[in-house]
Amino acid sequence: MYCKNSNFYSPAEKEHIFENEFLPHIHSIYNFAYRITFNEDDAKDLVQETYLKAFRFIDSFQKGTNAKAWLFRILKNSFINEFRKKSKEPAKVDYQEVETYYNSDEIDQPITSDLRVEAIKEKIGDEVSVALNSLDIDFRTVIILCDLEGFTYEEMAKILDIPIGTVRSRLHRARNLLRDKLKVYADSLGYK
Amino acid sequence: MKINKEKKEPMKEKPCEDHEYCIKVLNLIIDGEANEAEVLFFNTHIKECLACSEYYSIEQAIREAIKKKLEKKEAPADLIQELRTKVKESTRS
Repeated sequence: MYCKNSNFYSPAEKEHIFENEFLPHIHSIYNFAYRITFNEDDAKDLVQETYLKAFRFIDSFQKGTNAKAWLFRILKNSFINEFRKKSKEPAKVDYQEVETYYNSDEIDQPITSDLRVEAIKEKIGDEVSVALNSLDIDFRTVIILCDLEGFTYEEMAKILDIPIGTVRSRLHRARNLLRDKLKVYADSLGYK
Repeated sequence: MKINKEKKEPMKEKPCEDHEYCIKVLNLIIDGEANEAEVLFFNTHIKECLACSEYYSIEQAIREAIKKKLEKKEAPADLIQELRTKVKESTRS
């Protein structure tokens, strides 16, 4: 991903890189795997496959570069190739419906009271996990990579193999959807 | 940010001309991906637009909730151990 040339690491160097550059990210990788599969066994298999693949191709990894992004990219590819087909996905978002809504005037209506902003802020914490999990996987992925893992748009583009403009627009849609779900939740509690 | 609720008048006098554009810029700013011109535009605009300053405040709260409230799943210790063993086996074979 970041280096086209192959390196020839000795077995000791390989183990050193694996231990010091790959393993420190294992909790982030596992957490991400769990959030896209919703299943501990699948997450475990996915992480195992990711790390073993990373090790197998360790010569194409440049020591000291962005191991975290490299691992996330391998995980994403493994997921698409093998897991996505068999894992159950949550309900798909109807893109047309979403786009119609976000192109309508409704989105432009501002929230008009401070009280409501405070109420929403207070309550979103409780509901954010449910709201995030209910998003389509592509939307969920960009939010996790950006907000939870702190990747830049450029890193996300490399991990996901999509242009940076697509990262931006997908994130934008994902945030609108998430916000909308949280807003519905706040409304249902009577904060209007 | 306080609002005078009795008068029911918006505190800020210059609403957005293009709220959708503002939201895009606002997200770039929170993500640390905005350019200088976008930052300058928004810093000026947000002081004057109630809708945008509220939107900004909620967006920040959502980001914060994602960072703080999401349960962080940790990789099981046996998985880490298994990986170490497999790696050692493969370098020694």
